[in-house]
Amino acid sequence: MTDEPMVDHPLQQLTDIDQVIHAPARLMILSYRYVVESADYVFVMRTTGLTWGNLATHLNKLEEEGYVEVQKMHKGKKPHSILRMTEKGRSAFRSYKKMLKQVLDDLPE
Amino acid sequence: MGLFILEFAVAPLLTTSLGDFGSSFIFLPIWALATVMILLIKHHNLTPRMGIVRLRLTRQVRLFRLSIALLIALVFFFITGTLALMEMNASIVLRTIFMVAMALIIFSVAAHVLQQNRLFLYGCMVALAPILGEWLWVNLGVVHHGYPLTFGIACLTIITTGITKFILFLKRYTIPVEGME
Repeated sequence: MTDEPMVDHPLQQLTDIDQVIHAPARLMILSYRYVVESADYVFVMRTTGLTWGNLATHLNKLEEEGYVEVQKMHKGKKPHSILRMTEKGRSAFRSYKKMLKQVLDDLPE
Repeated sequence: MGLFILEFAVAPLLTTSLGDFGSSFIFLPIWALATVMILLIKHHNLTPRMGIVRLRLTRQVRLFRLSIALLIALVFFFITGTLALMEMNASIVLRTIFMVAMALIIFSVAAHVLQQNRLFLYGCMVALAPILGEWLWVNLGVVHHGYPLTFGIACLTIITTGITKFILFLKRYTIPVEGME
C-alpha cells in the first residue's frame, strides 16, 4: 500500500523536464540567447564564463537537438561564429520555463 | 564627457585672446577627434574582447522608444525651465539652482539607464562646480568665477577614471581567438 505512487503530485512533472535544457551550462547559454537575436562565440564565452572546450560540447548538443543554429564565418583569417536560437529552441525554452515555474510555485513555503 | 566638461574649465581662460565664440568653437575639432577615437577603440579593442550581440527587434524598439521619451522629456523641461526663468527675470541664484538641477537630472538619468553609478558622482561634481566656483571667486578671488579650478578638477577626475578603467579592462580581457584556450 505504501509503494503506491502519489497520483498527480506536482513534482512528478519534473521527470518530463527537458534534460537538454536542464544542464546548468546549457541552461545558462539558452537563457542568455533567449533575450537576444544573435550573438557571436566570444560574447557567449564572456557571458557564460565557459571555456572554449566546454562551450563547444554544449553547443554541439544544443545544435543536434535543433535548439540553436551556428553560422560559421571568418573575420580576416580568424574563425567567427554567430549563434542563433531557433524557433524550436525558443518554444522548448518557454515550455521548460513554464513547467519549472509551475512546479516551484506549487511547493509550500 | 570629460572633454566636454573641459570646455567649461578652459574656455574662460581663452576668452581674452579668442573671444566668446572662438574660445568655445576651438573645442569642436577636439570633440570630433574624441568621437573618432571612441569609434576606433570600440572597433579594435572592445568588440574583439567582448564579442558581438544583436538584441531582438522588440527589445531594440523598446530601448529606442525609451531613449526618445527621455530625450523629449529632458529637452522639454530644459526649454520650459529656461523660458520660465527668462520670463521671471530670475536672479542669478535661481538660475544657478536651475542649472544645477538640470546637471543632476541629466547625469542621474544617464547613470540609471546605463547602470553606471559613478555617473551620479560625476553629476554631483559638475553640479557643484559653478556653486563652489562662485564661492572661490567671492571669497578667495579665484579668476573667472573659479570655473577653471572647479570644472578642471571635475574633468580631470572623469578623464583619469575613464583612462584607468580602460587600461584595467585591457589588462583583464585579452582578445580571444575562437577555439584557442
